[in-house]
Amino acid sequence: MIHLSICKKLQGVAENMQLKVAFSVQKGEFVALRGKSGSGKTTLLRTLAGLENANGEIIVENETWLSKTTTLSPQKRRIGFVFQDYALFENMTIEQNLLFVQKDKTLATHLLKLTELTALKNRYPNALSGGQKQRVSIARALMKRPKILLLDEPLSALDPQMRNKLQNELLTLHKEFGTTTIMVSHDPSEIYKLASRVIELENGKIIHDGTPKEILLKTQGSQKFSFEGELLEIKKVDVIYVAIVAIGQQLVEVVVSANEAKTLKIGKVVRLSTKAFSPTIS
Amino acid sequence: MNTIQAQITAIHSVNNLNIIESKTDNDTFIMMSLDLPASLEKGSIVKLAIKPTNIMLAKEKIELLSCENQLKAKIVKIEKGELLCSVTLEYLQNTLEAIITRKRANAMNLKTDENIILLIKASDIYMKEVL
Repeated sequence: MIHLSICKKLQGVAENMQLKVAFSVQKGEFVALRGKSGSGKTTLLRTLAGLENANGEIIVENETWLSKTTTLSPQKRRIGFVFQDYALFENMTIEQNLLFVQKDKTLATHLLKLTELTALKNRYPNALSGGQKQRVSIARALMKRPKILLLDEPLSALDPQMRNKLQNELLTLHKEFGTTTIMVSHDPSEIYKLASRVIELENGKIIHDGTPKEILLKTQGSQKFSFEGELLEIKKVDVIYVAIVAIGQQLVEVVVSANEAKTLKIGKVVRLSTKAFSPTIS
Repeated sequence: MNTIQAQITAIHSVNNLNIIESKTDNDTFIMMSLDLPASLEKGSIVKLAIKPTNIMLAKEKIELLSCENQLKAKIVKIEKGELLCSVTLEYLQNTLEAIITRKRANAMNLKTDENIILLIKASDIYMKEVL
């Protein structure tokens, strides 16, 4: 069980903005942390890791990491930290990167096998692809058998296929080690696949805390099939109107009545919704 | 998914809005659509599709109804859940499914082997592919 209650000034954003959060995480829970940039996600992770100081309290499995009187150094916190940019030791082979953290050859061999890196263990990081490098840094983060694994947008630099593969590996590793994990992510499918809980930050405060479905399923009244897009054009055809809306990388058309068309403004962000019964999947 | 093969008999267009008529051995289908595939023309064979939740059932044809498509079919199976009822239907050689509420299925006293009318609005049919 992790208890965290901290207060800290956020750097480089609007004046007097404070990161002020309090929450508990169960042992083995996989928590996704989301929010706009500048909302305090990375600061929260860095504070947990001891890389930044803060006022408050952090208690991890009955061990005090932070209190009025104690500040445990990062080295003593049993944290695994994975950054977006890998942060590997370039002058060491893959296997050495793992063993540097903890001289446990059995665990290193096991982790290399789980992340399909066994064949590459004698290579140096610069001979690896982005996906392979990130697998090394995830495996390395687990070498300490950390009490908390912190992942700061670990997969956002990878292409969709590699992302998908590494999401599955993270899931396998989480099942195997049961490490309490906090992951910063913006990708709804990633959050849904991996996390059992989502905490959303805004301006340094928690604005949502719930299951992925509660937080990510966008609904409009009872309608479960809902997307946000930009209204590009409304064209009159016969007695109806056709609205063209950009959603993500594509355009969709929606039929609207004259009365509905009157209330819509070109260029506005609109929400397209329909009942869960209507769409077809192919 | 419910699909029915039909042959296009007419396409009426106003800009990118279309009403498409197609026929099976028994019926004429009326369908509304926005932009159409370029390959579509009179005589094309298409696969029409309807979601099971978009099919209404009636004991007999109803004149003076705005619903464009009324088809004769036979009930081959009725599966009742707590709230909903899945009715499997035979239309020509096609097997179709309609999902209605259990309450209406009971009220209508639906029976297997019974002939029934399917009501489908032109805006609820779509074209799955041009064959």
